[in-house]
Amino acid sequence: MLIKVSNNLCLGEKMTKEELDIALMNLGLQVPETERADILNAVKYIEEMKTLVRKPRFLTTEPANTIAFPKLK
Amino acid sequence: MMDFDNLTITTAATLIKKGELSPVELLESKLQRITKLDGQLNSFIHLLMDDARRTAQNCEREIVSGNYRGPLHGIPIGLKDVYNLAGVPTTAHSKIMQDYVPSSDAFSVKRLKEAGAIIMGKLATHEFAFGGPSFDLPWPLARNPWDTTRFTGGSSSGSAVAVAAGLILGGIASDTGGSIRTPAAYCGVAGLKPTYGLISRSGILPLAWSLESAGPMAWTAEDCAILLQAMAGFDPMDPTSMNCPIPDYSAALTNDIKGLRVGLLRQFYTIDNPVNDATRNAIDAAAHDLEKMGCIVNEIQLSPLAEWNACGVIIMVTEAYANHEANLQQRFMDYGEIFRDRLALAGLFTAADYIQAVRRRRELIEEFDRKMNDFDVILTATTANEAPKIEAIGKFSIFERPLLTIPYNVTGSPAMTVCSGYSDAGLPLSMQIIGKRFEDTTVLRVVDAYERATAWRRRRPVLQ
Repeated sequence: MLIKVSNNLCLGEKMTKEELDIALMNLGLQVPETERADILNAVKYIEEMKTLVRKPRFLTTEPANTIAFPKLK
Repeated sequence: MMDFDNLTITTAATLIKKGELSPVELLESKLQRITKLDGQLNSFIHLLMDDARRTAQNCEREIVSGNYRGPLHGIPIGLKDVYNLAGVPTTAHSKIMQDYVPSSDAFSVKRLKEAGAIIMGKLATHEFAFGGPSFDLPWPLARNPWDTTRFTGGSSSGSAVAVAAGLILGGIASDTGGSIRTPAAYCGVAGLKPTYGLISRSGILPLAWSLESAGPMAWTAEDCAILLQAMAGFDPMDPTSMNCPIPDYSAALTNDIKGLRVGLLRQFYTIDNPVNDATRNAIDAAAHDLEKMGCIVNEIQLSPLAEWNACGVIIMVTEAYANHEANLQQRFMDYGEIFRDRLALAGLFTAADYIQAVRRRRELIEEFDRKMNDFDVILTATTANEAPKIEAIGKFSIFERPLLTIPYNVTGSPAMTVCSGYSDAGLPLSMQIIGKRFEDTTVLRVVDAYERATAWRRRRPVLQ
């Protein structure tokens, strides 16, 4: 059974060990216990990155890789 | 007596064309050097002695019979072990792929073979062009020939090491966030990440599809131009391959850069990710050199490096996670610790994070293109310092400080590392020249002119 957990923590909010365990379980990853502390310590880096790519944008702002299908000949 | 150890592609090609150097003789000198030195450098994963000898003999026969193909004919090169080479394991330096033997060559490898290059073997990489430095993989870590206790940079470690040590004349590599330019910087060689889409990615094991460029490493920009000429070209099998005219890259190296507008991007390396004094002073001196050569140097400013880095890293690691998801779930412990833990961390990004990063990417590309209306190239740092000690590189180092290289993967621009001097300890310093998309010729022209005007290409690592 999957347990829903948000990976979108607010900036400054620290992920707990239990939340990481659940997130890794949801991902289906068998991460050794000895490596989980390292990952937990690094969560702060990705939380900062998540914030940095979020800007005030209107709904029509498109991503860079919007697909353009080849023109018909 | 000929100095085989320090031959460049350009010099060797001239001698081979004139019949003054035999491809067989050149290859044998390189095989001897590999036998002598690679036990301490670990640049090769698979050395293809017999195949290389057969190819060298064929090259010699063709050249003697008047069928000289061009400046790569009879030149020994190596492939980062993410490039498919028919019948030879392509492992990405990982246990996960150690039994993978492709049945055909990567598009760019086919092109290099057609140009007459001799493939000497497969070169070390960080695991799947991302993990590293790692000591828990099936093959050892490549070592920096300037000081084997120092980091080579990654991920194209073996390519940079083998070129710097004079084991090969050209190293074929790939760059998703700096994987050509960083090892080129730490090992003191020239490394070009070409414009995205200029070289086909088909037949190359990917890290992140939307950021990755294949590209060359060599001792000089002149040699990189020769390799790029062979590798570039349209491939219908790569959906991002551009069907555009390919210029004569070597002919563009006119040693005339008068009037070129250089944007000095100091903000990235003095504020956003401050570099050490030696690196900063070398870039300042290079800016002055370029001015003396007739360039117009003015400062350029961009959005903070951390924003470029966040955009690039999120795209890179989430695409990599998606690509490796099944193996991570089924064979987690078959990956090296650095790779598997970095990607486990990447799994914590959401789909919305990825989409926001790709939306940010469009905004950053538009900003870059607007700013580049006023400039022909950018001059900035490649790395924050010369090669650090291996043990100084942490498991999550790529997340700790913003990468000075990744903005140009985000924009798809050509970007090249060039040696800008040496530290007091004798380690190479470096800088980066960046151009507009599909203006790789301008980047090569500036780097070539700088190399000719300075003495840095005359020094080689001392190897016993």
